[in-house]
Amino acid sequence: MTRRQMTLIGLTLALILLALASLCAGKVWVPFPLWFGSPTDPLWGILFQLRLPRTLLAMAVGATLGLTGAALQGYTRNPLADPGVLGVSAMAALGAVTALSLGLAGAAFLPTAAMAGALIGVVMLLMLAGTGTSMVTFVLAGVILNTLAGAGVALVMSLAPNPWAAGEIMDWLMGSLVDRSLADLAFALPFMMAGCGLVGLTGRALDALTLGETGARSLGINLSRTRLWLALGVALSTGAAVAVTGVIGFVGLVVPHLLRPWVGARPSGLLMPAALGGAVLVLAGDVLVRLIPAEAEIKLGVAMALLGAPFFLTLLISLRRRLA
Amino acid sequence: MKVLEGRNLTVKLGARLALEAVSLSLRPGEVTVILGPNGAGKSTLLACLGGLRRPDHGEVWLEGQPVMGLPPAERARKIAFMPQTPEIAWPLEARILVGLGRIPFIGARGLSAEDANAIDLAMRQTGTEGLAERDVSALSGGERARILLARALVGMPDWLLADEPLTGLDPGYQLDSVNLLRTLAKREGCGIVVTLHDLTLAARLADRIILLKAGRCLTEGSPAEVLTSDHLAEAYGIEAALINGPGGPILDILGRS
Repeated sequence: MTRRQMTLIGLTLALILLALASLCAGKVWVPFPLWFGSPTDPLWGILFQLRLPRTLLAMAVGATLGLTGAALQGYTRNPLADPGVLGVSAMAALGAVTALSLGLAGAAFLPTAAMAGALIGVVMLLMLAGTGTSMVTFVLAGVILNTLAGAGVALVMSLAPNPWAAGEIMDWLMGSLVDRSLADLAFALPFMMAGCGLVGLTGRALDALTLGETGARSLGINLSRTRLWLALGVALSTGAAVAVTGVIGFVGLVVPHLLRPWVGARPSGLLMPAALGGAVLVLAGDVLVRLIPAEAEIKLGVAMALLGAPFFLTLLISLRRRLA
Repeated sequence: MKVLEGRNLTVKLGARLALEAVSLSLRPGEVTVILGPNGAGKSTLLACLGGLRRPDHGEVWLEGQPVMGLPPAERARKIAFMPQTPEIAWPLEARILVGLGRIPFIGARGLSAEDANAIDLAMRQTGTEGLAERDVSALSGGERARILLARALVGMPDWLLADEPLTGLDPGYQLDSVNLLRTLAKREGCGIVVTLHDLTLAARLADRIILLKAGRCLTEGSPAEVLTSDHLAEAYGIEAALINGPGGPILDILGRS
């Protein structure tokens, strides 16, 4: 068995264990035997109406972020790329926040607005960075998009009709999986799956891009098609993910980087492990924030950022050492 | 007829003409070297021949078909292309990097036994078998250049187009590469087109030389026909002479003309 296969099996086992833990853990402990109990038991309601959608969403959102992170790193050939750093998540958030402030927070409208925001973000990213994908232009384009989206969100919040609406937006922005319903899951999941499927189609092109754009084209890769699949895939999946959970950063950045030593650096070989790894990380984070004894539950997005920022720093230092 | 043919190729870069009405016909089993000063259009011509750049006028024909009309994967199976500044973005194992050259061949199921054999063969040809498990980012420049050559050969292409493949190699590797390219042409019937700056290497490697200046084809023919003092003075502004050394022709550069 190869190292990659062992890693995949390890990640799958971890995901199953964490899923079981996620169903049990929280303010109210739901012990395993109760799962087969009577549907009239209030704990049964907690299990199926709160814990189950929350667990499935954590896995789907994590897989989306891990996969899109790995794919964007492959496309830009830059280990510092992910939907967060490149501003796609922020643009999705701007779309969602705009919908929220207009009072259009219906189950269908919010994700649509978020996906539209993400799509605008990806298209702007590709336009700003040009067809030549240099490391610097992509990161700079990401900085511009993040700044723009941040300003947009601030504008929407300052125009909010009352403090309560601004608070609601603020709360949502911080990224959380609390109180998500099966309806949220049912709407977002197909888009996340379709988006991830499109991103998965680019595997071979991402491998070829290891040799640069000219190298990839000389291997018969149609880069316009690659860009199209990737842009649509990232927009749909990240947009849908941000719509249900708000912004959860760093997952797409951290996971591919952690997995490369285990599964190899070939971009297509990294996609599947990165999806599993992302699911593991977000699920673990979500179980963790439920277990931390605090007055109000710590937001998942905040927890991830607190973990991710130091990681980003060490990654930057090691990159600088390698370039020096 | 198995020829790679450029007809009346013209490429505009902004207001400047990077290539102006260049026509040429390349045969399999021959090593063609494209020479010319910096900015003469060598890389542009090579990219047009490889079907990676659409000329503004004129057309490239591969074995009787317009190269831009071929499905990209089919073109990639016939023409291997080595860019001037090779990029290797990730620290891959050398064998996996060579395997990237099989991308135009692989089906949905991934690498087949045939692909694996092709990878072994290409690594043997380039003397890189011993590097198979190594991380390419830890290889020396010469080792990496040979791995990249193996990557190009792994598709067993009819045509190998390489932009300055010998730059940055030490004399030993340069000699190995020249021998390998000549063997490929003579024994496998591969059509080889390379751009070079080193005139002595060009004289020893080429069956035919195409000399470009400012986007135009100044002259073409055998090394002895092309590398004359007059042509070199006109193309490069140098005073130079082709002399016979013990190991073959040497281009002696006397000074600016």
